[in-house]
Amino acid sequence: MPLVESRGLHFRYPSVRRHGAVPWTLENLDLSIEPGSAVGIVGESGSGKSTLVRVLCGLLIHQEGEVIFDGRSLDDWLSNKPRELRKRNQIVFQSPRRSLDPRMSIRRSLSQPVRAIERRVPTDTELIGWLERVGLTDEVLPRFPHQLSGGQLQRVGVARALSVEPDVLYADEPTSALDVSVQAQVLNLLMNLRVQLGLALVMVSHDLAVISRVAEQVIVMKEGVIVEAGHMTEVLSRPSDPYTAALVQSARAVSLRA
Amino acid sequence: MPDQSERSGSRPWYRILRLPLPLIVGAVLVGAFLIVALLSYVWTPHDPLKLVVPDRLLPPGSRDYLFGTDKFGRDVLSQLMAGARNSLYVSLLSTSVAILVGALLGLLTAGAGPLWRNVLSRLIDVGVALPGILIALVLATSTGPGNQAAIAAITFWFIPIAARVTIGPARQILALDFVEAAYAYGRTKWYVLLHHVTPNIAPLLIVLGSVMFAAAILIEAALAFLGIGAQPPTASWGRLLQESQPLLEAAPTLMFFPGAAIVLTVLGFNLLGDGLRTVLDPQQASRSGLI
Amino acid sequence: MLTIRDLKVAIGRHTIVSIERLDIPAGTRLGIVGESGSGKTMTAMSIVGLAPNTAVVSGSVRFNDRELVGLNDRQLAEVRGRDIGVIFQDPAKALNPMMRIGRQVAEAVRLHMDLPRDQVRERVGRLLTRVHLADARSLMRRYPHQLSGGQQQRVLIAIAIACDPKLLIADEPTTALDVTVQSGILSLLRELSVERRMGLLFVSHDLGVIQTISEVVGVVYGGQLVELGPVDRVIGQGRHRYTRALVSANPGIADDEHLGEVVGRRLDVIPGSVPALGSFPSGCRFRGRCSSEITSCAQLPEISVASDGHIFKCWNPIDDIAGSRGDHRAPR
Repeated sequence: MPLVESRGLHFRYPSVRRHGAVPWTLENLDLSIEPGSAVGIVGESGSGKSTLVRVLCGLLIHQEGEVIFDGRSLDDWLSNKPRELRKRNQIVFQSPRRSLDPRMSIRRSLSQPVRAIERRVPTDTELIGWLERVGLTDEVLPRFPHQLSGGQLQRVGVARALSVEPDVLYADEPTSALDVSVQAQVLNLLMNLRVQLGLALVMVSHDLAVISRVAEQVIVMKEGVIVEAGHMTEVLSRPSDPYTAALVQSARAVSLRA
Repeated sequence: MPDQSERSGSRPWYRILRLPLPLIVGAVLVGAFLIVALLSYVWTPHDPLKLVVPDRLLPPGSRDYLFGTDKFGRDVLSQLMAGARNSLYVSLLSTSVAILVGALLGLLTAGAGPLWRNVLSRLIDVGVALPGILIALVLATSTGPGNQAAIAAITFWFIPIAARVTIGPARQILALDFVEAAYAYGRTKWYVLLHHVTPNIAPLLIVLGSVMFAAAILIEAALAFLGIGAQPPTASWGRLLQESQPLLEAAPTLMFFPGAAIVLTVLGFNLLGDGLRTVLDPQQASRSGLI
Repeated sequence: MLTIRDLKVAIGRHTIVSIERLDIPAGTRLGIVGESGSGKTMTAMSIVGLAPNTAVVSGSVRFNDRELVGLNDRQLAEVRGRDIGVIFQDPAKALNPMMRIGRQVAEAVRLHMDLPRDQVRERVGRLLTRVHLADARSLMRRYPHQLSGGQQQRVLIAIAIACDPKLLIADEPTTALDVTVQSGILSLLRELSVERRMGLLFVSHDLGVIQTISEVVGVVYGGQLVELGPVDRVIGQGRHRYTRALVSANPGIADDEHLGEVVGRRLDVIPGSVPALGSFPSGCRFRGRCSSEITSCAQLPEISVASDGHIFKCWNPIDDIAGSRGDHRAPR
């Protein structure tokens, strides 16, 4: 059974304007994500890929169609067990600097999910365990975000998301704000953790090279619509949609050939 | 990037605290104002209200009267100290209530959905557009003049301004990823507004507070001068100015002292605000593009 | 055309750029690659004498036998307007949002030559067509926000080439653009460079893009040019440890038949991150992140020549031929 599934999903951002004039941001999306799989969502700016992950994990509420998580609809989860939904769906963001509150110590930021979801304060042993999992030490606990590098902050972001042991980790362009050398560290970390913890990894990226190294399944989006989805190797080597073909060709043209 | 001049040793003596000069000057002036105002509660050279008719209109530097006396023979220095007390009382009360209520209103507006945000924003715009001095006149005629009318007028004048100033930065912070992360681990909008947004806009509110305090002192003096604010016999800088007006030629110093007190105090609070802006901002806020 | 000797650029106490020797023949497409904070933009700007006012520049940069170091602002502006064009990362910020496209391009044309109005207009049309913007007539009447990012960047290129510069500096010009738009801009730049014998100084963090656009590539780390040479040699057979590490940390897209093999396979990493300005180690600046340190690395490395036009600064370089991708893999 798929872990996350959507059928006929429509979403538009709330606006003061009355309905009708506002176009859909996401239109008629069908997709499914298996437990423990690695899915890449690729598309250019404005394709709705970041919006999609926010709808899938219940941060934005869709207007039409349905999203099913672990056999129950998101509406059901949100009205009956919102905290469990949060616990099982976590998200890592693009900008490591913006994803941690500059006025909270790393200790406080890292404790937040467990404090909010499990209503308790995590022990030092737990905190250190989470940090070690992402290759950091307890030295960072008393520090503030501006004292850490982008790569370290992104690790803290990953540690924070994983502290509640989610079933799905959504990663929205997790490496596009990082240098190439640091990007490799974070990608390796995500791939390792996915295997270790058996979680599903849904990675959004504009960078086909990154997706091609991480994802077994790929979803190609354009202007709020899924144009193609399937096994990464097949989609990249035998694209059936002309847009996918153009995307793959352009990406290959500027990707490094060593 | 670290400030080179701070590391390379030779620093002017006043930079020893590594603080900007405006902040130091501002803090000294404000400190002096606070000390004088608080001191006046327990001690003044003379009773500021006591009339000593034989000693009236003595020039500054006279025996017993450092700053001279007014037309009723009251000690000017004592009246100035009591006036500082009145300024502090009116300004502190009005500014803190205005910032508290205004910031809360601003946070609510920033956190509301698109519809309510628009409605509240427009209402706040209307509030900003209302002429404060007219509010004061209306209040004074309906409740009678006095410190209470001044406090109410300044508070109502400042609330929409504080709200207006809060909305923009609060919305910027609400748009950052850590806020979305907080929603993702189940925090409510209230928690986010209180624990993420408020600390991040606190420096802004502190700066706003000091600038508003300066404005409040000016307005208090102006209202007292116009006869809407503090009433006789309460000592107030604005009233001292007003009383000295007819005596401009006979005793010009009577106008000089309250005028100078107002200028220095207002300057002090403005410099303090300016200095705080640079000190509170850099490390965390400006680097990540907040505020 | 560009001759650089002992160029040093310092801001405060920190030397952020130092290049001993660099010659760039006319019409060369030179790529400068480096991570954020490596000083790649500063390096590119100082190469053409355009370091910011706050920087202290020493040494010599000669552009067509004219010394650029020590020129005052007005003289530099003259060189910039006539011989050097510049395009930036964010085209939306480089265009005036309140002015129609036609007028912005026309101003660049008029700055260069005194022409009657209708000829200026015609030249603007030709420039816009030259950068492959369809329907130049109607485009000229539009405002920047009505154009897509790719179109805006093309307009900026048109403005930059309006004065027939001998050199075009492009600072991350495709970073903000979508990948399908990116390749179009890159081929336009290559075309223009070949057709007009116009040198191109292309700055990017993206090795793939650099490989696509440039003939010669300079790798910058910690404000130092650590390796410079023909693009295929530097990327394929780089001698400096940093160059090689950077190449293998780059994911790239495998051939169709190898796609399945590399998915999920861990990438080679460079441990740590680029230090902040002023906290680089002494000696070789890559020290501490390099997996092949030897004792000499504590001293400043000297220039070694690998082959004609291929230089590097490394005490313990990768062997020329045996330098496979395996021997520098960071321990993990």
